[in-house]
Amino acid sequence: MTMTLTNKIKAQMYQSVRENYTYIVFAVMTVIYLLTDLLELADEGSSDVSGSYMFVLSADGMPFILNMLALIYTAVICGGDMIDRTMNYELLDGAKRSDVYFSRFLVGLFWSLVSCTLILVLPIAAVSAAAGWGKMLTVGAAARRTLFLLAPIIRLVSFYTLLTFLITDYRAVIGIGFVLGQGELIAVMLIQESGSLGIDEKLFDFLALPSLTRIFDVANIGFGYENGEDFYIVKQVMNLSDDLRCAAINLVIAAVYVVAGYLIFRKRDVK
Amino acid sequence: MNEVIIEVNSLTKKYNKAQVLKDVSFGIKKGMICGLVGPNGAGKTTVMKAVGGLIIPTSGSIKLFGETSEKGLAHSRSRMSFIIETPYAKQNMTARENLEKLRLQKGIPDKKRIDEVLEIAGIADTGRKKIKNFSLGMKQRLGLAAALMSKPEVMVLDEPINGLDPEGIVEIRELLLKLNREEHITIMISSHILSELSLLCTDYLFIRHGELVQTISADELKRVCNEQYRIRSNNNSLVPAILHEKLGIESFEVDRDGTVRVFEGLNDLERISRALYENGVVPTELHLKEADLENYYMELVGDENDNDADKQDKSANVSKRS
Repeated sequence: MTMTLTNKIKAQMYQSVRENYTYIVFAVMTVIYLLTDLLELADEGSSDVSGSYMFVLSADGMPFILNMLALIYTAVICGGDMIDRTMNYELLDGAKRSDVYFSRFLVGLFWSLVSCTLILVLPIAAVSAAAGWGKMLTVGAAARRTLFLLAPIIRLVSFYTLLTFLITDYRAVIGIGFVLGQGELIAVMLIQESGSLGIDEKLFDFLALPSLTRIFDVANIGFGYENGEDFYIVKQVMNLSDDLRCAAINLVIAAVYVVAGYLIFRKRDVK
Repeated sequence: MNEVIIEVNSLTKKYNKAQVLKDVSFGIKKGMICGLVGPNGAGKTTVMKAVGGLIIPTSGSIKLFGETSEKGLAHSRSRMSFIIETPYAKQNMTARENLEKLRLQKGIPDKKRIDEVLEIAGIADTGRKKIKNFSLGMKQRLGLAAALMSKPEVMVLDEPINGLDPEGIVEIRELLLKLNREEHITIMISSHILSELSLLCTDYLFIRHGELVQTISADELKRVCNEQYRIRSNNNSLVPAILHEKLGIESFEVDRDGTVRVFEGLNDLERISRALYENGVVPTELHLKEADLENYYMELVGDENDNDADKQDKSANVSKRS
């Protein structure tokens, strides 16, 4: 009998693929995402639907969707076994607390990254297959944004892991995580709209959801002209060093959260 | 058989100001079936959780298979299995899926072990039925199956027969006895069904208000409990003197209510009653009491509604004899 981190991860994966919530959460979020995009599409009144147009269109609602996916998967994977006390049996079997903790963090991270990537890629790929990619944004620029989005997602998963091991009730974590995420967005919006506080917007990289919004970075949309035809194009110039800095800040904060969560769990009584 | 497998020394646990365990010490030897007996809230589950590493003691130490280091204790726990409070069960999975998850988690290579433990626990025919549709008794059986997955040397079981029907209780009792006798599995068990414990246990730990009141073997318990005369009379105060001076009986105790319990000369009831009559004492109650575990427990741990002084008095009496 060998009890290792790998065993724990295998067991968590085995469980998560058999749980209904794994699929229900993804389906519900996909529906919300599609409905939001359809409403925006109707609002814009554009007939020029393409993959790149969908990507730009999703920038407003996507931070909320990505946050909810990371929040629910992490909270349920880390906290589900605390509620029904099956996690106790891992400790009773003599498992290291580090294995119990990190297996859940890693499986939560896996499902969050997979679901976020799928929801970012699949609908857009489907539209691209039907209507082409379009000219609003290059494939490379969209791919780069998608890649850099992973850092704040990792940070969100880390934070929700810490929160779940602290509170031990995943339902409360989902509630708190939702309020905190929306709170961040509202706070940043109010600061930006006031315009007089003189706060450097780069500081928003220290917040999770505003980081997601900034990485999408599709605010500056103008007209392009090619072959006698006008079209919308994202004119925002991407700055690699800004993106790297944002990713680095998010990954460092993620590491702090993960370690803090483990330190809390390491010496804590289990109910 | 004399190897002490579970050794608890001066174990204390405090939650803020509440002290739930006070200086608890005991040892469980290889081969024992040790019953942990006490009222609700006495600290039985807390003791088991501390042994299992779920709670961290405020002070004191735990030694398992001779190991006290964190790493050594973790390794020792991998040789044990536990059912504490809720049996192991993921509600949305079948019994087989639950055990497969456990197999992966524990790194048990042999998949056939799942069939074996399902068979042993009597839930081999539950098919695709999810645990949320199981009865409490079936969940208990799944908990036992899970506990047996890794072929443990020690089982720590907190109320394992809760929710079982009479037939299930007998089956589980026989299973535990078989595991103890044939596989030499040491068992620490708590239950509120004392008649069941008395059919299983080789030793008992009595716990109350977080304190270990007494440890006693089943043989000693029988010796202490069995065959005692209880005498109540029109003049209780004279009885001890008659027993001692007229009959030369040394082994007796007087309870607070005046009842005299006699532990020797038990084959000569006629002689005792005659001596009492001859000395002007009329027995109002004179009978042989074969106290079982339940009676012993009630006397030792007492009715929770009794006042503390009364309880201390009773427990002191029994402890004195053991």
